[in-house]
Amino acid sequence: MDGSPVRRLALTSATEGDLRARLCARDEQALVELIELTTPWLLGLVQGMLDDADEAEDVVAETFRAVWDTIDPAGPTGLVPLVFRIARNKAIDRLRRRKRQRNLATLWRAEADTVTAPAAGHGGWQIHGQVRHALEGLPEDQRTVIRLAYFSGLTQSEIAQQLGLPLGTVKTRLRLAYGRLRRALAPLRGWFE
Amino acid sequence: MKAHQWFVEHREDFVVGTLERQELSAFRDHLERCPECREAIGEIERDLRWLPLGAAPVTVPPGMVRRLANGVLDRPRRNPWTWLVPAALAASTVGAAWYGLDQRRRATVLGRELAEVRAGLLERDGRLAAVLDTLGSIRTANRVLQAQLAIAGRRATMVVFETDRTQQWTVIVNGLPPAPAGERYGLWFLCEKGMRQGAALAGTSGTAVLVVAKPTDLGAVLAASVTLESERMVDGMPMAKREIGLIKM
Repeated sequence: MDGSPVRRLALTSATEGDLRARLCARDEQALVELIELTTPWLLGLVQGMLDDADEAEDVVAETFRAVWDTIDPAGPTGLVPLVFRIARNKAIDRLRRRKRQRNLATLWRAEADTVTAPAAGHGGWQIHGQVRHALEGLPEDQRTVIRLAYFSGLTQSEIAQQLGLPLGTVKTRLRLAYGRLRRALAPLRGWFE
Repeated sequence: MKAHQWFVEHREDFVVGTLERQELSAFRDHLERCPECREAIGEIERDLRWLPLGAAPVTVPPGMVRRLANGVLDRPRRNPWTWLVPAALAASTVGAAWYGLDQRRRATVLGRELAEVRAGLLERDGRLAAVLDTLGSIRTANRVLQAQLAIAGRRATMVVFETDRTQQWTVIVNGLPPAPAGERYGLWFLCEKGMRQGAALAGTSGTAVLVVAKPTDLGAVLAASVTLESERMVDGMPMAKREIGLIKM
């Protein structure tokens, strides 16, 4: 790493392809650019799940180590989604290990922060806008279970317990929400093709 | 609902990671055997891959980018002598290649035969996967219930394996004769807040297996009634039905 200043990148399909190729060629500056591009979003996601800034940084660090060690030119398309998936899986592993039950107040506070935090200026904010639009298009009861399931990392039975609902109701709401989200996010499918 | 249906209905839950530990383990086992579910999981992952960007970004503290990069790049380098092992392996591979040229033709024939065997195994795997799913449900059952069914002077047996984790009944029916013309068998849940049909049962002289989801929105299930009922429906209910067996909880 040469210590040169980091360029502010936009998240575009071309940026993704370029970063992947340079990472495969072991370009250390490309790693710095990937970190610069994705860390604001990774921290937002993982802190929301773990409710612990230090632990979130550990997860993000593990994620970049995993990406650097396993990046493959023939791997699946979508470098940034891959980074998110690795980070989220690692956060879920930690949640399941510690089995910490956060109280509902904490979860709602995280949701409120999510709604009001400014996203513009970060690479990827346009995609963020589309995803937010898809989430806001969900009926409130479905949006609540999706937030707890996806952005807080709770299992279905934990959600049922938190909301005081039968497990079957939680399953039904999640299933309906997944269907709506998949349809709403379908336009983003072609982003890489 | 067949055992495979449970996995179909929980594909998104698997991708999102909301399954319980035991369910997750069962799902991973199932994925190894089920190409259809593997493909569907890939589709869901593609559909939802930008969902993480629904979380709001956080301002990165000063110095963190550099710290993260150093954490990746400044790890101890590999021992320089470790190249000896791959080099030795590479050398032995090159040597073997010289002697292996005449083996290539034989390998091609073997490869073709192997592909045929693999295709046959894949087909059998599909059938085996369904059996294993059912056996898995039976193995993890929390309660076993049994009932005798009486129909047209014949006796049939029904055994129910109830699994709390999945809220499912795996039902095994033995000796139920084919239903008379215009009629069918039905399984009805009798709950605190009402009654709901669980499944239609096929009459067979052999053994039938089916998986039924327990209702979760009508209060506790008090009993289940097995009926012989008319295929004609009025307002969503059979025109006539009579009970041939009762399973008490």
